Amino acid sequence: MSAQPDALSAAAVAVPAPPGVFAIGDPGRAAFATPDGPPTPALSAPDVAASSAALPGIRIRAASVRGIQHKAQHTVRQDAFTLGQLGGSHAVVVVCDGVGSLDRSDYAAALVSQRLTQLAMSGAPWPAAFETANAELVKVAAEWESQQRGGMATTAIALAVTRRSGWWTGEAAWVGDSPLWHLSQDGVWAPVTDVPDGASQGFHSSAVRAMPTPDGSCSWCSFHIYGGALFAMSDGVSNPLAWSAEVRDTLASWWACPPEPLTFAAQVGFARKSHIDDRTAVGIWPDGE
Amino acid sequence: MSEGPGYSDGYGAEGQMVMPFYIICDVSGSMTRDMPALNDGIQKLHRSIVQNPVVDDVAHISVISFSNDARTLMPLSQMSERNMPTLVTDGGRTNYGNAFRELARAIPQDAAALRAQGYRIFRPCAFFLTDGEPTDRDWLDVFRTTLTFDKSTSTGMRQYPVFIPFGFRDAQEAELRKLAYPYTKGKYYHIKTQDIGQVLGLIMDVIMNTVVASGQSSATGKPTLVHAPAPTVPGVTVGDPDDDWI
Repeated sequence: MSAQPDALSAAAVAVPAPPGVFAIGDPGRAAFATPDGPPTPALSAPDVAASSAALPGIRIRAASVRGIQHKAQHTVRQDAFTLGQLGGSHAVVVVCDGVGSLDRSDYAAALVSQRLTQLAMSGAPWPAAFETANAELVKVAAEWESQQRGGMATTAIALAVTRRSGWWTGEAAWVGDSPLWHLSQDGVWAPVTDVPDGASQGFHSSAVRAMPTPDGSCSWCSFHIYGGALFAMSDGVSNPLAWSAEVRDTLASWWACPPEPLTFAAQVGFARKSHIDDRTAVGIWPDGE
Repeated sequence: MSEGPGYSDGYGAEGQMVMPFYIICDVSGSMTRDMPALNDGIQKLHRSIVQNPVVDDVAHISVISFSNDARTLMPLSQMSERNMPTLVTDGGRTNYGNAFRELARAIPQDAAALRAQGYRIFRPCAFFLTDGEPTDRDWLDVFRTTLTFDKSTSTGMRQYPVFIPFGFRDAQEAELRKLAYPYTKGKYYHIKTQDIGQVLGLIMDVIMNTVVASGQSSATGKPTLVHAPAPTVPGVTVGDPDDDWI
């Protein structure tokens, strides 16, 4: 006997989107049917972190949202971001994505994002900052491991950027698959740094390079881009962005100009079927143009 | 291969992630008295997945039966949009090779169909349930040529599944060990107890745990294949594959 489609079963289990929730395409069931769960047993980062900032010619919105997967498992958000400045003209932005196989990667993401920002604000070039932060993470990870407090690792994307005469000029450095994207004034997304395809032998693979690395090295580039806006993000946002025209079109529409900070956070957490990872994005827009 | 109710907006399923699972069930004559328990287990798996939206959004399940021949009873489907098929025995023999051929036919066909709709696919996982020794002589050659891949020579099935055999009653551990693939991910389960209801319940528990763990993997923050922990049930052996037979 062959299986028969059962439309009633889908209708019976579908959960409608709550009012005010952002979704792109089919939100799936998990986004609205996953219970909040209890507070986490240890002190931890909140489910949602949001921030905003401005520098001459620059407006910034930042948000990090706990993924459905962590919500379902009653585990904490492992993404983190930090904002800083250099010389009053350069925005410093770091986004980290803790590696989920290690249960204290939330700490690694918080530590690395803060240290990279501090080091950049003190004038350290990115390769030196990554080397220093990596060495510190190596020590902490080894200490925590020896105390059986859990392992840790994280990806990182870091940039320092300024805006002059309509041009974004800066330097970006990264370890792993958290990228920097550019959204042009006409709504076209283009990666500034590597955006790994994530495919191996035709199938999706989630293997990733992460800190601590053996040698403390990072990838690095300088950029000079006209107009539009820049977005540093974790792969929780970048993967659906890279893989779906619908997501690109929708986010281009939402983020053509800086939303209100809490609206930006809600948009970063958009519901989309099967995308259950933590989400973090930091948007950098021109101000006064 | 659903796009979900009410969301056909022209973009389709582009960029959605799917974890394919194939459940290959022995329905040979020796399974006759086990069919009610087997069907109960299949229905339990269906209910468990539907009740877990994180898994249901990601896992797609296919059911293949085999005896003398093999056929796909249910193509890859999201569980909340399909009923499970009812398995029936045809009294035939235990032809492993035909089961392997049907799986090898289905995987690339399903993958192509999913990719054409824009899905991102994880490597499939196949659960092979049997109570007996193979009655075909060339089952191992068929398995090697249809469901494994030799990276050194780039020969075989590039889209090979992670293959996890479950054997009970007359199934031989030595044969199961040869079917667990690949070496880094495959495991086999050999169950010695004669309580078939308990065995099938255990098998379904292991499948469900694997599906749940895969759908909610903490390994990467994204769905990925991880094995359920070995069950602590007397008479159950969980083993790693041979690494020197291919």
